[in-house]
Amino acid sequence: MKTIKRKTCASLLLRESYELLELESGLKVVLYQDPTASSATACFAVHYGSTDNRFIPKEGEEPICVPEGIAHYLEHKLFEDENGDAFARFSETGASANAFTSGDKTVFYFTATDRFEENLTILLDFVSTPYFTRETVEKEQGIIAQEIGMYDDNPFWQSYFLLLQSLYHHHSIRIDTAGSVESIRQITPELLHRCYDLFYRPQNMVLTAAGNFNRDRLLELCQTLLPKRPDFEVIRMPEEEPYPVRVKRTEKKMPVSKPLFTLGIKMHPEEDKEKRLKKYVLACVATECLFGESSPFYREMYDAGVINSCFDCSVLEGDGYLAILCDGETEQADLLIDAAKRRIRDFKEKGCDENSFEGIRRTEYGKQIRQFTDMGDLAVQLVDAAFCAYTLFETAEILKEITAEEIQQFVSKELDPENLSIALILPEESGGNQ
Amino acid sequence: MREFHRLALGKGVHFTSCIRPKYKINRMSIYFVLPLRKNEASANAVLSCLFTKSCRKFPTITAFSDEMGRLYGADLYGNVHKIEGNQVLSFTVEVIDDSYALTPEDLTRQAAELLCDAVLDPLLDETGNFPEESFRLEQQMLLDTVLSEQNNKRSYALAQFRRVMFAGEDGSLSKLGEAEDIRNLTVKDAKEAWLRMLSSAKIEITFTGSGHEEEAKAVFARRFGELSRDKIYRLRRSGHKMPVEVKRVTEQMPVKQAKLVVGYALGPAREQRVALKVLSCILGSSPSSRFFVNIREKESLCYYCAARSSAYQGVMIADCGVEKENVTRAENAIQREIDSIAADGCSKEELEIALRYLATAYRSASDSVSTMDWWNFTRILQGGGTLAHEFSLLQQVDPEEIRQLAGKLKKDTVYLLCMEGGEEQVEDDQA
Repeated sequence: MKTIKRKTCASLLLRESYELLELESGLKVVLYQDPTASSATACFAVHYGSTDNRFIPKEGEEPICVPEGIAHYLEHKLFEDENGDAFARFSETGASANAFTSGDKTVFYFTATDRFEENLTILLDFVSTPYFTRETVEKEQGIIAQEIGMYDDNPFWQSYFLLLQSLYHHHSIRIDTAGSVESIRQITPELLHRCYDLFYRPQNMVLTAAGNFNRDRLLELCQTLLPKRPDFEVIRMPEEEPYPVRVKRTEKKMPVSKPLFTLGIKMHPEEDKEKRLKKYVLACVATECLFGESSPFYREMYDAGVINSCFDCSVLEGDGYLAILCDGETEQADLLIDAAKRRIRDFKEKGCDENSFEGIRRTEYGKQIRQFTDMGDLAVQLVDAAFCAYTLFETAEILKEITAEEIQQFVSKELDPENLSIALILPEESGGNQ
Repeated sequence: MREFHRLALGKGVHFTSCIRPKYKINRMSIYFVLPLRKNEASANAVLSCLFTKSCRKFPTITAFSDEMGRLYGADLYGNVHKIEGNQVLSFTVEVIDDSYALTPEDLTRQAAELLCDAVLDPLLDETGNFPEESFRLEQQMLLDTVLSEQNNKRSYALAQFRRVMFAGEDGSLSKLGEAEDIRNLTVKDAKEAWLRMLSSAKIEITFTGSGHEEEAKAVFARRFGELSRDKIYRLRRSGHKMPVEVKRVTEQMPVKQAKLVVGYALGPAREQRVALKVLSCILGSSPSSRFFVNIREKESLCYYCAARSSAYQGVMIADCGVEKENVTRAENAIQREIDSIAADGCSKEELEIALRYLATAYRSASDSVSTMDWWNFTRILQGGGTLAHEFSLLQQVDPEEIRQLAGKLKKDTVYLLCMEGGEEQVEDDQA
């Protein structure tokens, strides 16, 4: 397997660089080397997550639907092999290994301070050799059902998914990553094999490494260990998602001391890949300007006791979805909603304070530097960047050019204060109507 | 690289630095070590909220936040910890290295000044007290934090468990104080707590990062040199008493998954801290542990089943999330693994796996400023060795030491949080 493309991504501003390669198989390999690090993290990831449950296997075939939670189930099962499991093999080397599934990806990773190549061999091997029997697949249902039960009792998780279900009519981001106890009962070894075979193909995967490791040995191992696989042919079938939110308010009762909320403002996602990163960065800066700690909204709400230090705001972005999210605790949801709407309207009219804007821009630049301080986080960020086809340095370049006027224009064009929804988790004794 | 450099800045005030150019950021923490007392805990704790929103120089949350933004998103926050019978208030700021500033600026020095402003020069009103309005907000925040403990069922179960297991001891006291104490707090209490903290707390200042520590040290030396210091608090060491009988408590809450916590006592184990860590790892701190392999994977009883220990308190705690009907099976399964090690020891292979797993954790710790900061601080407080020293102790642990430690574990407390099952109860049981 030869390397067919090689590119060095570098930033003079951040004084960092990393290497982006594409192997003959179509597998992307992204490498950030830091010889001063004590450890290295490698991620082997597939562009396949909980939202991929409706697709056409290949052109000309009929679309199929698979049970909710199957990507996550597959993540669990890939750790197993005929002779035991991958954890047992990693225990021989002392590496710390794990995996996670999100809406658009499944990531398998390890962190090690020595024997990097041995660990990489284990990683590439277990992800490349699925082994499922009816018995082991059934046994996993008990473990995953316990995991689902744990999240059912987690009010933050419940609030988050309640909001996604309120914002989105059809998009599969509204589906819980692990599925439900009912949906995972429909998962069979045959279905797992089918999904594995269709999605776990090199063109749909990326290998990233960050830290202290031998680059040439890593590439050699990729070339000798990874089996030849057919091209990736799946055609994803996103459902048409209307712009308006599905429901403006949802409530659920749980044993919590104070109401929790997740508030979302739904936006049009950018379909053009070239413009997607810019829109995401604009949305991030706009979110901080609108609702961040230095905003008049935050101060007003904090001083009035409507929110407390738990308040946070962020941007939710992926294939076919884009929204601003705010979450925290509040006893006065109606006041909070009114203030959020008012803030957007005021911002459209007046824009933001130049001093605060510069602080936010500097904060975002600071984040770009910090992302190179944790090898584990960095390896995952390289996965995201590879799947979205941008480099980690583009954000810093965009930030350098952004102006306060541009943010004001963005908010004016993209944010409708009425296209907002809130999910509330209320204490057991108060009312609720899910 | 200088792994550890420590010097006195004043009476009971020390500055410790750990410099590695690879870090790219600088982290500075001020730790105030105080006795954990029920009547003072909440007044101390409210300071951790009050001092991270404003100061005299930046009197509003907006001005304070703008200043952190100007310092490229410096992150300044407060925290409260409980270490043995001590309450520790920490105030930390993290800032990117000066060399990354877009225009030349001494960011590290400015961040050190901001941290000192927050703690030593807070916003006071004309009467010399914290402004009533901002105090009330932070008092409510602290109360919300205490009351929202139940939102995370696993940590709630662990907190409730500790109240039962350590009843009557320092270990049962909440690091944030109890809700009732927080409700009764006044501005005067907070002011007194602040003055007490400045005059008598043991103060440890740590600097972990890429460089410019001399500039920061000069700031801390100047600002803390101005303090009038009284009699300095001497650390309290507290262990847990061995149980006479097993305490059992069941608490009812509408949860889908029951949470079981089982506590074991083993008496003083300070000298065996590394061996106890290894035993915890063999039992339930890694994916190769007995709890993970046997209870989760083989029996499919739970998604998590973990073990943790404190050599300073002489305890080991196992916890799991489990279906209510499987609680007894899970408790028995946990006990079976401990009994098995106490009777037959662990295999050489098991020991080696645990040692390798912990070795990775020790070696990779130096990559993270926050891990190194906490490591250095707790080392100063509790008297452990350097990373290299602790790592060498790890290599000396043998299977017989593990067997003996497991044999000392005596079941102390069993706490269960579940959907139904009657009222909270305390039953007698033979250990």
